[in-house]
Amino acid sequence: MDILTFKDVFFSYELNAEPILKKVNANVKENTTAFIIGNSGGGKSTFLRLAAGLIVPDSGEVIICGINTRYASKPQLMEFHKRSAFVFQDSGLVSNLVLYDNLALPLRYHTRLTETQIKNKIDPVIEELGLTEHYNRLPGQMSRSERKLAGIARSVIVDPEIFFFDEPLAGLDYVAADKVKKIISRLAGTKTIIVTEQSLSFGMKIADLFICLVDGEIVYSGSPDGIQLSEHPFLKRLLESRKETTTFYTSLEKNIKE
Amino acid sequence: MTSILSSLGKTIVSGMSYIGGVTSLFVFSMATIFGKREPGDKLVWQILIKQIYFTGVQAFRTITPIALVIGMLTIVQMFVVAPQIGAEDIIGKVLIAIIVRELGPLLTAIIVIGRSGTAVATEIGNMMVSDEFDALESIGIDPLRFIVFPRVAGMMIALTSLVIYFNVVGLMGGYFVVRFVGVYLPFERYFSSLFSAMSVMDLIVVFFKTLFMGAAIAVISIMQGFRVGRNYLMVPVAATHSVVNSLIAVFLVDGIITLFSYI
Repeated sequence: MDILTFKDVFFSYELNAEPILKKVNANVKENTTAFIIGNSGGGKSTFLRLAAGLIVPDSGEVIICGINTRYASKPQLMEFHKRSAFVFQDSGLVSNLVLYDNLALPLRYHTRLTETQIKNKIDPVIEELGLTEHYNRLPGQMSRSERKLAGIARSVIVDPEIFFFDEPLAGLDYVAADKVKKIISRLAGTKTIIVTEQSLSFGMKIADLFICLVDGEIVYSGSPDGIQLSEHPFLKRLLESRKETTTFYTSLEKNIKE
Repeated sequence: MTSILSSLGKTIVSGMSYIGGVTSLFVFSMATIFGKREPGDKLVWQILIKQIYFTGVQAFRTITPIALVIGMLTIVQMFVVAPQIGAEDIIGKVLIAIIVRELGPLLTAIIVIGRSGTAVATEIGNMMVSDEFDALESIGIDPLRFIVFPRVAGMMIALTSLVIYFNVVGLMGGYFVVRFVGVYLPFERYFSSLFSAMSVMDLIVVFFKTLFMGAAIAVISIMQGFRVGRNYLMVPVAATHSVVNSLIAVFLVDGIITLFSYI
């Protein structure tokens, strides 16, 4: 069953400006892990925001969980948001709430869980992500990596049906990136996950579907294996850079071992 | 000539659209409170109380000396000048008109603009830059209900309370300061002239002025914060514009309500 459908979607942030997305068509099935890749400024984050119902298309339709975002009422969209989680590039934590209150916010706002029940849900996730020492710190007192991990923690705690990750690995150190990869890999297959990423490496391991957006147009939509056969110059370049990176890391690893 | 008319037209159109935007922001944020009840509504009330505390309670120490000085100066001037022009009978009426109806609301609003309006504009601007509004929406929390409503309602309640405080301190404290510096002013004469001069209409006018001023300061500051978009450099600009636009709005509200009250 398709959980997300894009039908001839056009979108621009400003009136009469060049559209960021041009006649985009895409389908994502339930419990699929979809990676949106593409060039910088090519419309990946816009695609994700449209898919999450945070913005609506100028023309065309975005249908998510049976809700047409263009015609949906605000309460309908809010109900959908409760069933999904969006992880922003810069975490999206509320700046005047400490880490614990940030993570507890959706639970306190939408559920009647007691403070003990909320704590029992939050503590294991905080511990797993190594954020225990930041329990009572404001987002501004944490590093970018830690803020991003906290954003991911908040999304996991509410246990949504759909996850939207906007470049979850960008700007993370090696250890933090590893933690994020583990979490996303664990969710893959049991939840619908839509991720935007600059590189192919991580997606090649867990993605069921790749959608490649170049300058607002989809140039590839299909399985990870199919990318190898694509003749599109952008994808070819991406594959080459992946090979180079892999070779570099293999030799680095070898040198370290020696 | 055409270019002057065209720029005048543009200014009028942009001014009208700004007023439209600010009005819609006010109406929609107030309307959210009539929407579906959420278990987390108590968080909204907590933010409202915090806003009243920041805007109201924390402003007491700024308001107090200003109210005392304004009260003292006005009382001294009235008791010196009025007998010279044979207007001793209307001293109470003039004090009510100057302090209670005009200076109280206006000066309090100016202090609130400087303290809280800029703080709100900066806070909202920073929230815009760091995607906090989208983030709240993405977890099913309506920012109009969670962020905008408590700030608008909080500022309206706080400004109304501060104006009452300003007027009480101005009229009573001003009297005691005048007595303290040695000016002879009979207690009974002063207060009887005040109470006999004050009408229900005066209180209604002040109440509506403060409500509208509080709403205007809050929505203008929030609107300026929204205009920051994703540009950090626009945050201080938002603060400056919120001061300028709020001042204009507050003086307009004051003028319009005063005029209507005499029609």
